[in-house]
Amino acid sequence: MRAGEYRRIRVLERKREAEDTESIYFEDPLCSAASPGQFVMVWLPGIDEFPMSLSRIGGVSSITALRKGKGTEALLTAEDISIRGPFGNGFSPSAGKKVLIAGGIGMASLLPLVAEGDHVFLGARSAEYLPFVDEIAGRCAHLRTATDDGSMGFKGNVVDLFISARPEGHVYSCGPMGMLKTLHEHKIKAEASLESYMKCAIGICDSCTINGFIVCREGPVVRDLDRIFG
Amino acid sequence: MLGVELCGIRLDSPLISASGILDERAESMLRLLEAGASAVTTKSIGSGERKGNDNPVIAETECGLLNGMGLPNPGIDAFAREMEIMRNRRPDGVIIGSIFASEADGFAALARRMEDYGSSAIELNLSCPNARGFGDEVGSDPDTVLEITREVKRVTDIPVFVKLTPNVRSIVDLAKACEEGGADGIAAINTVRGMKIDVESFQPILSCRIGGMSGPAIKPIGIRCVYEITGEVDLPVIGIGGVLCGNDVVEYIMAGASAVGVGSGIHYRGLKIFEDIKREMLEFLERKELRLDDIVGIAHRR
Repeated sequence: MRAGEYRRIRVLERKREAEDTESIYFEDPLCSAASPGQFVMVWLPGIDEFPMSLSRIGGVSSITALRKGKGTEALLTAEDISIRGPFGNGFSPSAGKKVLIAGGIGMASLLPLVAEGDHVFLGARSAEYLPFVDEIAGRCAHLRTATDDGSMGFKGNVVDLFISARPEGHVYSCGPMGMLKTLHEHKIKAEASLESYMKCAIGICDSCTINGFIVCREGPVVRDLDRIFG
Repeated sequence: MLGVELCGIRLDSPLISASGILDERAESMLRLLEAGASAVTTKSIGSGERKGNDNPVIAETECGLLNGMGLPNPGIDAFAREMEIMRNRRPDGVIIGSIFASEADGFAALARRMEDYGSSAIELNLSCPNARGFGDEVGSDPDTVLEITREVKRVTDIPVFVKLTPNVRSIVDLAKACEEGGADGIAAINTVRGMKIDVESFQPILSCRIGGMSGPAIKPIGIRCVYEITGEVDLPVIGIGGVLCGNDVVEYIMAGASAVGVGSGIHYRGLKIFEDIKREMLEFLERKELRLDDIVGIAHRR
């Protein structure tokens, strides 16, 4: 089986992660061997095909979607889905402690990295939109949250929360472009997983390219934010 | 060693990047030039923005890629930005502006704009197989090809290449129409109509169902078309279809091509394909103790 070929996958289990946010679990040998940060193309015949990061990688893997259109709506109610992948380059391994900075659903691609001793900074508009909170807290002691309305943790921006604490460690991030741009403006050295509209997902069609960086093939993780915002 | 001349344009190698691959944004086209493409063909640009077909638009097969992109592009107005960046960053870069329309006037208007933007040449997309009302739906009839070519030639001063479809009974008839219409050259071939069905879900994979094959599967078809065209028509031909290695380029040149387009090969070998192929070609020429000129169209004389 090659990554470029579609597999028909049975949805084994669903889990609510936050408001409008759900994971679906499935078994797929290629995904079991994926690296954190890699993504699959999820195809719902007759509806759409779109990229999703793997939120859990193992004998049973998962993807996690925020409901925001007919594609994700169909994904979260499907009994079977077709996937190809995993594609792209994930996060680089780190021997030491990691610092993870996530905006909302961006936490999905960082979740496979979370280990004891790591620091996780997780932001969302309000408490009910913070995904994976119990799971992260169960794996590491240093989870700090930021919400726009102050309903859980720091009131304000997750980047400001990180800057106020500034723990040691290799920084990994995923979230809206605005958040990544803020990290870059503060000259924070961070790897980041990028989100971009994708068509071919195999590095030829130029629809996902940002500033000459081919997100589907060379990313989705960029090692240096200068490559995107420089 | 590998330099060629194409309609008065000096190219430092025969390796042109084919239309449709990493060529919608200036930053990507700059990377193609940096990677060693001697010229870049742009994404096919139409009069207005087009989203293209819904996903999926690509299917990998055991022998090549099947695509049904459906001519997504920003439109000729917005494309000014990309061409301006190209002019500023690489004033020496050779850009072939690919355009598509449904009739002669539309092609002529787009060609004028591409010339104004600083294109070195124009490529008329008369061969895309996956967009309703465009491409090979327009370009399969020799009379229409003649009319469009003639009208574009009337309004532009830069070389005009016509990219032809192999999905016809006689590609030579189309090539003769290009010649009669005053074309400066021909690009052949565009993708070959194909289809793939996902047996697990019983679904055609491409949202447009039928798309175009590229890659290794179509190289023998491309070689045959270039051979047939150059046997009958006295125009330079850019050979396109399944160029992955140095020997593929050599084969196209032996069939009569003056240059080649590299497209899906970028998927198979990455952007380094341009430098890899140049090295492989040099190794071939050295081993055979030949120059590139010695082998152009040599298959016609055997």
